[in-house]
Amino acid sequence: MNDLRKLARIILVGLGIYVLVKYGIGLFAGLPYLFYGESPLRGFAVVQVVSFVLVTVCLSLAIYALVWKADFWSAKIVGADERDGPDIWWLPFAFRLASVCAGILYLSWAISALVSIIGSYIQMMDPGFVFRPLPWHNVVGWVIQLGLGIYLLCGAPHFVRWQVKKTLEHCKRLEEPDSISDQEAGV
Amino acid sequence: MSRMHLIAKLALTALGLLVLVESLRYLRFVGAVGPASVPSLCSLGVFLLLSVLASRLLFWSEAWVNRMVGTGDEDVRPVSRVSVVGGFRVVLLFCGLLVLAGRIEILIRAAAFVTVAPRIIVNMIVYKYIDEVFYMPVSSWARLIADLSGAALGIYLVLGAPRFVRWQMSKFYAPTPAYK
Repeated sequence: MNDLRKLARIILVGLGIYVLVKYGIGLFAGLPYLFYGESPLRGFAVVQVVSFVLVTVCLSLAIYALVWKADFWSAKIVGADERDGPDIWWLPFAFRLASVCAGILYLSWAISALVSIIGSYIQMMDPGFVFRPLPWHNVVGWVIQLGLGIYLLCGAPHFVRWQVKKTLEHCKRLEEPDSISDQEAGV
Repeated sequence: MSRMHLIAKLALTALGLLVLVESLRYLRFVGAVGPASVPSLCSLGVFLLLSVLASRLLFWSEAWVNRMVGTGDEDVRPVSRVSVVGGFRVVLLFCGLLVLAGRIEILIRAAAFVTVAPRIIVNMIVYKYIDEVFYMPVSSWARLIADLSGAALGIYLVLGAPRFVRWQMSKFYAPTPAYK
């Protein structure tokens, strides 16, 4: 189990570093406009800075849980029900790890998009700024992405349980004699 | 199939899916400048090239897997069925979630269209006309097809891509006399 915890920690820290580097590049690209740019460009720079700060706070919390509260986080990923299982103990772990990784990415994308929307609305107050409102489906899409990101980051318990159940059903079906004809047909 | 073969196969499958999604991005640019213009044809060419590469990675990657693993693989113990099915499903789920992340918006738009589509279609039949919604340039149709294909691919992957996994399993585990 220790190996699994190490693996989860390595993958999540690696992903955290990737996200931080990505937003760090955006921050450095936008920083000069904060001091020297015109109004819209300064707004873009503010959005970059706020996105970076928010994403950094979220990731810092996650990495704090990973490094200092390793047991809490690993227990969330490995789960209680599969620790003593026979040979499928790794399956819920793998699904949960995939969900958490996807959750981190979803959250980072949604945060930056929503911050830019809020930034656009704040810029509306500037009389020289031409505001083009975003389509409603974009805004709803990012809000849904934020919700999904939180759910996935929590390990998506119902979804993971459903995936494990389906995987085991799939394996059982493959071992049934009826499935051989399918296999021979290459379906 | 050994554990290293499985890992190599999963890595190539994930890569193939990402290449496929990248190819759909180029399909969106077809017709953006003009249906028969050079940029459109270049986009179509890149789309076809990436699609061929993706299909090679997804469906005929055995030669590459063998070359990646090499002959020095001493672990000849075959992996269990659960490992293969579970491994494929985990990788496909992760790729599916990434694909769907960029297509939530198109799913919302599609759902909104489905709610008004029956009324538009009934009106078109009753009053014998074609609604202006359907008079779109080639670039808009290409973008719509690419977006809907991406969304459908994402949903299929998140559901575990059962037929794809079964097809992969049929390649690795050929029926043996024990099953007959």
